[in-house]
Amino acid sequence: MPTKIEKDSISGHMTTGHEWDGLKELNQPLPKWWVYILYATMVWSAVYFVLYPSVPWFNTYFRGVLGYSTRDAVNADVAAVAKQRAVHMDRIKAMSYADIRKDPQLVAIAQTAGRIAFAENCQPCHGAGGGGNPGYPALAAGNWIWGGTLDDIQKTLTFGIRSAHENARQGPMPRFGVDAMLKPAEIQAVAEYVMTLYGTPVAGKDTKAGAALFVENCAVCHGPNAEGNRELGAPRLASRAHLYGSDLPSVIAQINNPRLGVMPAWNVRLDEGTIKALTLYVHGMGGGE
Amino acid sequence: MFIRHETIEKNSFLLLVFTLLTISVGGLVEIIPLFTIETTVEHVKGVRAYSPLESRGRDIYIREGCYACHSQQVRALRDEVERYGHYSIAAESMYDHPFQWGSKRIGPDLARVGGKYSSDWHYAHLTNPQGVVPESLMPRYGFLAQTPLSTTDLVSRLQAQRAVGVPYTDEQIAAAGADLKAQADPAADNEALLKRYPKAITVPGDGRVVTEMDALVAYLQVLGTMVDFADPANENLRQ
Repeated sequence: MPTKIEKDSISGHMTTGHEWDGLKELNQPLPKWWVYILYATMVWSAVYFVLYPSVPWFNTYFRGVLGYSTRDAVNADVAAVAKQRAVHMDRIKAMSYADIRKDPQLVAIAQTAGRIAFAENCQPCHGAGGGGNPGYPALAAGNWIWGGTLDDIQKTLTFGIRSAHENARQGPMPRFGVDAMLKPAEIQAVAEYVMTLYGTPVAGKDTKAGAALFVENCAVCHGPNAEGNRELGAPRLASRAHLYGSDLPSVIAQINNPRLGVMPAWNVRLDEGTIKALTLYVHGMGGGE
Repeated sequence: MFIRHETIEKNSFLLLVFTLLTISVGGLVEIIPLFTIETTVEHVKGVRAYSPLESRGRDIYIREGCYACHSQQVRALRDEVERYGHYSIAAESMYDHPFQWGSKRIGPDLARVGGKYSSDWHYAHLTNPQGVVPESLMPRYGFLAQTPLSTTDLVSRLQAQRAVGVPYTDEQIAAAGADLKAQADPAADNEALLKRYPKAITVPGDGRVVTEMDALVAYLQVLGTMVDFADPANENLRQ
């Protein structure tokens, strides 16, 4: 029930004029500390409006007197760190691998840079520590398809394998089955012969016919002794480490309709110094030549 | 002519009028300048509408809730730029309805995943993530490779996107079915597809049935690849 607004005799504050059963509501002011913080935030917002990009302004916006831009800030951050790293990375980029290896500090830096780049970019396919995955070569094991010297690795990393890059390594293999170059029985025979090359022949089979077919169809790329040809990216077949499996169905499938793995060209994502550091890291995983 | 705050508070009509006035000022200051410009999104060379297969892959991405664990926005921060590549720009998602920026990163950001791994890897990884990345927490999506992609409403979907501003041409909509098949078959002639959708990556499908997996991989392989940041024309992108 509204009553007269009056001064409360005990607290000294005014009442609001509300009363419930004899209880009168005091009209206490807000605490001073609270009010001053509110005023301070108002001042702060005005200052911020002037300093930083704030309001739209016809076909542009008010850029603020500090001229701050998120994009400029990140570009400056990236450039600053690149400049710090350039002290060493530029040397790695310019020097030959032999010279880099003479400098233990540079080798350590290349290892670190290589390890980080490997974990983010290479590990999903080639596995932690270069252990490989089905279809992705084990870099630590050294069964190189395109060569395991530093220069070979750098070229593979830079341009990729069957990537979109014009300098990519291109290793074609005909689809012997799908394109009817060999009959199914002939493919079976070749596969059985290939399996003898790494010591797991299919029991009780005469592989002479398969061997003849191998010489005729496969040896031109994979070599007469199935030792492989790195110029063409033809893998060594006289080894259990087949990229797509060394059991009979896998070998047959690969002759019938070959899977041709793709590796991206990394020069679009990584700079030359990082690629060289990565080359040293991959080379040092255990398979380098 | 000074109105006491108490007076406004005690008069609901006055309170309403002044509240509306205050909000209008804020709104007008922010909105009116936008009437003078054609678009708030900068035009960047290379950005194109998704190809039919990529667009359907995007539908699968949303249906499977990929956004719950993967963001698609490289923030303008040094560590992000160093890990993922160039920071995302608005134009790169201008044809996304809705955009997939996200903020939850249980898995890595995918804004620049296109071309980072081979298409074969994506098939293997989606089928069994732990098979290639042992520490991965990602569920298996192998069933996508067994599910034929529904294309009965393909044209309606593209028309619906055109209605909200994605610039599909009549030609693109008419050829949608053919383009979709061509992108999922490595043996197909993809010249017309590449003309309509530059840089479209043909995924290694089996050439007979287009699966949901084919569509998803095509979508993943185009993410972040449309803008060529090495092109000097894109050097001074500013927002």
